[in-house]
Amino acid sequence: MHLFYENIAPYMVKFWMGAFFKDSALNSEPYVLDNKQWSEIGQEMEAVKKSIPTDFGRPPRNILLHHNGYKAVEWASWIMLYSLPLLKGRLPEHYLRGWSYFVKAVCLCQKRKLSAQDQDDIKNFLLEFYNHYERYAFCIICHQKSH
Amino acid sequence: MNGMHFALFVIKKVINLLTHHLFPSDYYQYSKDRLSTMKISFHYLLHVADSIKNTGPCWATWQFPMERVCGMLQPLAKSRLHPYKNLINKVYLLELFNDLRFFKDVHERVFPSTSPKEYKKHLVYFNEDYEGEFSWPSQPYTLNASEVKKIKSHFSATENVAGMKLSVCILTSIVRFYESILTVHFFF
Repeated sequence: MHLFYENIAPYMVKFWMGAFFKDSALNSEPYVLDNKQWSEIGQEMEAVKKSIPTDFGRPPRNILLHHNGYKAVEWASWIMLYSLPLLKGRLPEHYLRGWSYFVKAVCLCQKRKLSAQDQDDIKNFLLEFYNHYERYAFCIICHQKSH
Repeated sequence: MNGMHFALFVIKKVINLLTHHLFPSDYYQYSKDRLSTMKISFHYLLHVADSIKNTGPCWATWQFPMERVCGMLQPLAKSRLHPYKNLINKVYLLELFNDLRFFKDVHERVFPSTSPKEYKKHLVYFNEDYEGEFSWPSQPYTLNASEVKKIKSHFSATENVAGMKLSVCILTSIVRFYESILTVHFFF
């Protein structure tokens, strides 16, 4: 779970903030949200603070300001609760779908009991996300699997 | 790989390249400059499912307990010159305190037992169906002069009395207020 919360999620946020590469030319991609959009997201997270049920864990912190100090639990709730609704309409559809595979896999990993179906789903969702990330020859892998 | 398979392979590769050029929009994009996107952690994602299969669900092997222990150990190391020695001594000392409970008389002297705080009966709410009970937070409070003045003016306005009768009026109001709290307590 360290992998999901402390590695992947911060990397992806860095991508979307346009801060992943040192070379800024590589950062100008359609998946980058500008500063205004991020501050809107942060404000929405701040605004919902008072009304979030305690059952959902810690109230969310402004991700633009505090993403460096985020705890694992906060990343967990960012992945599972806040990322998809907040990024919807801001991130292009294509990237949102790719990210949603990861979200689904993390949600399944949180379960206390995993059925065989769940395990297969985790594997497939993570593979989907990985392929989306890398854009590697998915067809070839399918082809090899069919043998 | 026979000829047919090879043809299929090539077709799929071509399709893939085409889609790649039509939608050239992912994170790695197969380009040399963007090689730094392929961090090892993204590769680890592919092993998650297998490790779940081998070692059980995520909660069985996740990092949270270990991080908790690290969080306990970190403040123990105070020395900058000899942090490890310092840490070992501190842990050893704490363990000694843990063992102290096997020597009852010494333990009593070091950690004298304190009786739990007792609440007055009207401050405790309990129900036959539950084992636990609620204790209401309470604290003696004396009003200062300005507060008394404000309360007096409030009651003289609401109860429509003035002057001498006021003190009696306040008393009855407070009693009434207290009663309402009591009913809240017992018919919660």
